[in-house]
Amino acid sequence: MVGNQTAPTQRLRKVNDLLRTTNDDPDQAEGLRTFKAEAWPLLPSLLRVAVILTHDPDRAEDLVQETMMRGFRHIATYRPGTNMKAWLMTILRRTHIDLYRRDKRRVPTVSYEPRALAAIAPADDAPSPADWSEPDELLDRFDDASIEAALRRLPDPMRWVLLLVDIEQMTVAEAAVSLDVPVGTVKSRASRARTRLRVLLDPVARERGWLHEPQGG
Amino acid sequence: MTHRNPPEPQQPEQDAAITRRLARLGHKAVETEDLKRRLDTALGGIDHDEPVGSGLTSYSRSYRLTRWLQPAAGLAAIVAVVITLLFAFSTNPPTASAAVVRLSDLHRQVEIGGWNIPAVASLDAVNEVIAQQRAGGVDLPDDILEVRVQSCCLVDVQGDLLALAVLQDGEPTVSFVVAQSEEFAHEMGTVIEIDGRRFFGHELSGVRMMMANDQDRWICVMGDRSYEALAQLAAGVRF
Repeated sequence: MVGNQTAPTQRLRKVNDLLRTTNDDPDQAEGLRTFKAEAWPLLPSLLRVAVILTHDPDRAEDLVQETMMRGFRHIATYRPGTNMKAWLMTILRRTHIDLYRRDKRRVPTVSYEPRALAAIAPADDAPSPADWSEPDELLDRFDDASIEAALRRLPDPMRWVLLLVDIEQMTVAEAAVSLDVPVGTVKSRASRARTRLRVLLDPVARERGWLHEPQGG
Repeated sequence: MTHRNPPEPQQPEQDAAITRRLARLGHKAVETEDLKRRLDTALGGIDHDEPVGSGLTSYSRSYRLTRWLQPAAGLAAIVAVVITLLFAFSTNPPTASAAVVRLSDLHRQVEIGGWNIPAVASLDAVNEVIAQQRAGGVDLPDDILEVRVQSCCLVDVQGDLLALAVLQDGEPTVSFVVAQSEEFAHEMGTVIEIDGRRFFGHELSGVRMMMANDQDRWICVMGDRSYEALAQLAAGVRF
């Protein structure tokens, strides 16, 4: 008994049909081609985000692979013509939670070590603007690994906003869709996240002598 | 560098600098060719040039479950294993050519009791019956069907059915299929290692399955259980 073949009714088939051998149904093959045509160009973005999240190239590839597999399996939930990047980023975020938190692996979120707690200060304790009088030059001195390490120390919701908006250059509206929060929430989180990132980087800059200790007075 | 999200006018200059610095991370080049190859294999690349079993690197996450070294005896206390000597999966008698059944469909039939399948009570008994089936020591009804099972993986791989067992222990039904084929289904999905053996898991039509091969024989363990549980069961079967 060979599985029943249903007549194609839409360009992108449901997952059960898509996963049949492509030899059986050329329309299903076309569905796969469509998915690949839209999703493959997004692999670099997904992988960049995954590397930052996992800090491990192998895990990052695994994460993206699982994301793409889930995307393919649930392609029926994607509306053609909408933002596939936002859609896949949503899947990536949820897959990351499933794969790593469920397995109780150490997820690089906020560290609860005392030093880290001290570093993650409320916005009121943000570094003095005077100390960051030349912020672009100061930030240029940090290598990417240091920036990414600081990102991993942010709370998950804050990190994701920066990942999508500042790093992957998604619009605030697109990020709101992907994160399933209002646009205003994205904006406020982004603002707080950038401030917190400066708070995390500030002591590093001071340790390296890039900033002078604030003068008393 | 053009930013889709230029800093807002009221944004502190320091935060705007953060935005600009982070944007540079988004322009880092990443190597995706290996990932693309893995995905092409996993998705049954319709454009792929590689033949089946070309030795592509297996992929997906690996769980080194050292804690799963205990034998399957640690699983459910009451195990009823149903073994089929023959099964009918269609009201129509088979034709001269071997009827082909997809593994996931086979499991669904087992779940709903679509075949008259006798039961055994332990995984040890499963191994005994599988051995008997393979040795031909079990009387087969006259209307036994010559069945070829089709791997549910994206590449059409078929095999001659060697044995079929079903586990019912109060938890979701699990089917065991042993087949023989020159080609093993593509390695794909979740990879679980137990005692140095690799088991490959994926899900199709809502049926989760773990597969492993030994030369030209392969086993598929299917059911609504975790990959780890299915792999543990598969590891306990001698095929």
